[in-house]
Amino acid sequence: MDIRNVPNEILESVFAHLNHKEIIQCRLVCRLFNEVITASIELQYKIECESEGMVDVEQYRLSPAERLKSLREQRLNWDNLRWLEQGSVEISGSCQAYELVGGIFARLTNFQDFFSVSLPSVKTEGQVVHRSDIGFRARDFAMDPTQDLIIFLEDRSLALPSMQLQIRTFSTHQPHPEATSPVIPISGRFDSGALQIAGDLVAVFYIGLSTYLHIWNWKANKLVVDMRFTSIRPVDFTFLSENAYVLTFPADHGHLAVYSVSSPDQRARLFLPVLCADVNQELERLAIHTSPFFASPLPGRPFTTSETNRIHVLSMEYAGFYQSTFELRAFIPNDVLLSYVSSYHDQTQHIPWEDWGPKNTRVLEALQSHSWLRFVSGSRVVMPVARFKWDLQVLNFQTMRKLDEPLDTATATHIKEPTVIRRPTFFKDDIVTHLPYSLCTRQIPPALQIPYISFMIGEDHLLGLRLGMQIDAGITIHTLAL
Amino acid sequence: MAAPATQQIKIRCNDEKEFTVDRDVLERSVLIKNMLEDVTEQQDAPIPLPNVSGPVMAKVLEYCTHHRGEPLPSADTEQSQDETRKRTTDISEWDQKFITVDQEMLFEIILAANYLDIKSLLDVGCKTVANMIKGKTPEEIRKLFNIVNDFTPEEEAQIKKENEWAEDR
Repeated sequence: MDIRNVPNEILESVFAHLNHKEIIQCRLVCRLFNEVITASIELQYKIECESEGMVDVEQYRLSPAERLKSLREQRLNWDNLRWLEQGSVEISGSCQAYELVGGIFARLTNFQDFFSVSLPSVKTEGQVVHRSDIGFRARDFAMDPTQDLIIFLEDRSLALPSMQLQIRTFSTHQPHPEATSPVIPISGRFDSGALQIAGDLVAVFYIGLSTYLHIWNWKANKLVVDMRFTSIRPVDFTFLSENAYVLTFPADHGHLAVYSVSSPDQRARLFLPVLCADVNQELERLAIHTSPFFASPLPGRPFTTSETNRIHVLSMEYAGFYQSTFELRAFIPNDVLLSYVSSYHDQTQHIPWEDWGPKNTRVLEALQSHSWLRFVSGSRVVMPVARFKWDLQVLNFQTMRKLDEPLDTATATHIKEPTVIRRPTFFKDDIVTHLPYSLCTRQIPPALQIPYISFMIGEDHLLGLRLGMQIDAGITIHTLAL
Repeated sequence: MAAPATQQIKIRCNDEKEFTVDRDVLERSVLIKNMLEDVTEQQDAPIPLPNVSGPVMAKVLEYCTHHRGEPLPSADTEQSQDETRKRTTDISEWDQKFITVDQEMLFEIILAANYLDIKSLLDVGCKTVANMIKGKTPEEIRKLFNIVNDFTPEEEAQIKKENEWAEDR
């Protein structure tokens, strides 16, 4: 009695417990193993899904064959930016706060007019527009459609507390049933801040007299992180997971500080490239951006991007002599940042750029554009190719793919050679980075050739945004559904 | 109030070894459960299990006794079965200890669980084999299971080439 007496379908179940790299290693063991693996659609799907940086959504009722087909279609569409549908949505009025989450574009105008539209896609009909008066003055909002959750930042003007979070359902705008208290007061007062949701957590990062970061468990109405900075101040914030976050500090040469929610005293400081020993150069802006967090996979999709493949885009704006400025963008995979959370150290770790940046990230010169957010989705980033041009480009930092299905070379290229940024008047050393990516460029269809101010990207969408001609005339969103 | 007397069922293995077991323990096996449901009258003759030997059945019954009373997966929950199968190679502490047996017994248990239709036990068996494979090179896997490399060098080179794409990172 040995492993060869085991029926093939049981061997298949054994292999299904392995990850895709272990499965393909097993092909090399013997003919029997190879036959079982290559004959199994379920294993084939697992291999391709995982090597694409996706994870399977288990409850989804599609056979492995249908999932595999859908995975391959999606890959081809994105690799070639082959959009299947396009449409546009006109939105009037100014845009005070906006979100693109899970195929929903939402916007807040005049502090209380809330508008949302589910974008048309290949799989679903779109254009279900909701307009409502939320009944209070809000400055900002964040949402997670998988929890039917929307959180507004209410501005109560002269009342006390002057700011509070309103925790509502997205579908009905009623107090969220899972929230112990639907209203969470905030002690400070501020004009601008960032609001972000990750699972049970909601973060408010704002600059008042000091700079503050508050993170609540919105279900339990419990403040879990309470940070205040007075001297060396962070300028931006993002979650890495439901247990980790990062703050950006532009002072000196700039660094990222990675924290764990459960023990915010421990942190890792990841330093950015060292500037020349000259007081004239400085890092003026240091913003970090990633795609929205979902508590559970989005409905209607058999697979979703794995959290380790989420990409963070760090926009670094440098200024030197005579107001010369330029912008670099660093693309950082989530697992790189998370690796500094899981390693427990008693003291703060100091990680110089050379130790974490060159091998694990990619730094590119960027167009200086204060573009609208939501230009990241999973491992993909959308950017204009050049200013005043119609082309858009999509960078994908998940680069593993099957060789027997070559990329359409007309549109997509694989980039493995390092990028060298040589700015000797700014940086002590050249910035050389190696993270591989694929790049796909496409012209906007001629019928849609109108000046876009910005591009956005979602799981199944690319959005081009156009401003209206008159002031306050609103925006037009052009949707390219993939 | 006294608990209702549990019905005792007799089974006979392929080596003539017989066991008398509480019905609810035996019903962990969907095969036996279905057999018992088909039989309306009380039968004294033992149920024959021609594919299982006494020593293996003893192990299987140890498992079934420990897990008696737990909900059985119904046909409807195939999806969630699928889920546990894919998601994890974690095995509970008791199961881990239970399944620490020599390779021959391990495969016997897997075959018996498959025949008797005890999904959770089959799952523990498959996970155990998967854990044995994890992190090993093809040569180490061959050694572990005493498998002969039956590829020609050309075939081996071909598979290596096909695998290249997924080893990119």
